[in-house]
Amino acid sequence: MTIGNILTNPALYNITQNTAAQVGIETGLKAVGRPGFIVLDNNIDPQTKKYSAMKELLFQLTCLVVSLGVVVPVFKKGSFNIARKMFKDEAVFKAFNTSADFKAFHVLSKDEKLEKLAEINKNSNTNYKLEDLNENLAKGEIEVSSIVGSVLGLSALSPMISRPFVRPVLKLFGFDKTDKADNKKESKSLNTVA
Amino acid sequence: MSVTSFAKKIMESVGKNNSPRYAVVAIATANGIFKPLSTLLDKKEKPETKKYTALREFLTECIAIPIYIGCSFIAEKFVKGIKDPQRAKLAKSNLGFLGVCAAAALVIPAFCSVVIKPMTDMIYHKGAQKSQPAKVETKSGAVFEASEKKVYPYSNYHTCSFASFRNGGMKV
Repeated sequence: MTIGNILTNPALYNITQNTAAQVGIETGLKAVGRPGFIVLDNNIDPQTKKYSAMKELLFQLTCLVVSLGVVVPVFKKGSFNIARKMFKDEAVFKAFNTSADFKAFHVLSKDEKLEKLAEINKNSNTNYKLEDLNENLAKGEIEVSSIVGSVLGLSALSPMISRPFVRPVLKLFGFDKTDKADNKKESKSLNTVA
Repeated sequence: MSVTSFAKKIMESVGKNNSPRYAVVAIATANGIFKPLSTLLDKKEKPETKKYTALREFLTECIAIPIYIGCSFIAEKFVKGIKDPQRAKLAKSNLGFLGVCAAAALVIPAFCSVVIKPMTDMIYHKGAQKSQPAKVETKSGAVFEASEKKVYPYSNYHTCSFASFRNGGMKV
């Protein structure tokens, strides 16, 4: 398999177009990269370095779990219902009840989509055509809601949730921030005038 | 343009091409606002440490936003080698994502570890110089605040403290 084949891989394209996957991979890389560079920094005292790297790792992992495990699924579900009320005339929101139903339909091939649509028409006594379904709108709605959910989860909620959780876990692993280490760090970073 | 039609346009655009830039830049922007705020609201930390951490977090996100955009744009430039438009569309999205990944894992942490410390030091140095004059401690243990002395280079007038005058005695 050449690099060209990997870069034009449709499976990879589906991952890169999915907000939840983008955020998950990016946060995972942050969880590795940021502590890694803290450990490599020679200007920090070894004890503080270990503490900071572990704290950053735990913080990023907590953010990932809280955001992708709780906030994004709730947002996806809720926002699809809001979109169904907002865009009442759109066939795509009439044909599918949940975001999961639409996503399952969206990944099908054209023939499979036609087959599925015939089944939907039969069950709901409707006559939708494939051209009637604004798939870009429904997919965009799901992705925008995932972005909003990720922003709220990662930036606003996770720091508040993770703070009381991270400190006890650090203590449990023996990474207790002593006053001595704290003072050393402060004197290195702040007391540059004296 | 009503709110509904504006929202529809944005959603259709994101549905057509959900660039990885949208999510990471939105998250970095929100992180730049909420993370420092949450740090400043932490009651368990010392005020000075809180300010320093909040500044570091703010600067990190300020640096991250242009690097995310720049890395994904640079990575997307490599799509020129692919002639088929359908394959080029797939490659552009994939390359953009790889650019964002490289930024998150390597470029941003590396750049921050080099740039953040001098920047925070510079900001603290400035503030500290203005607010805290240097202190001088004598052998007897007394502490004096050093004040700026006026020097007149082309005159015979030299400022002299009473202490040094007394210790030196009268010289004829």
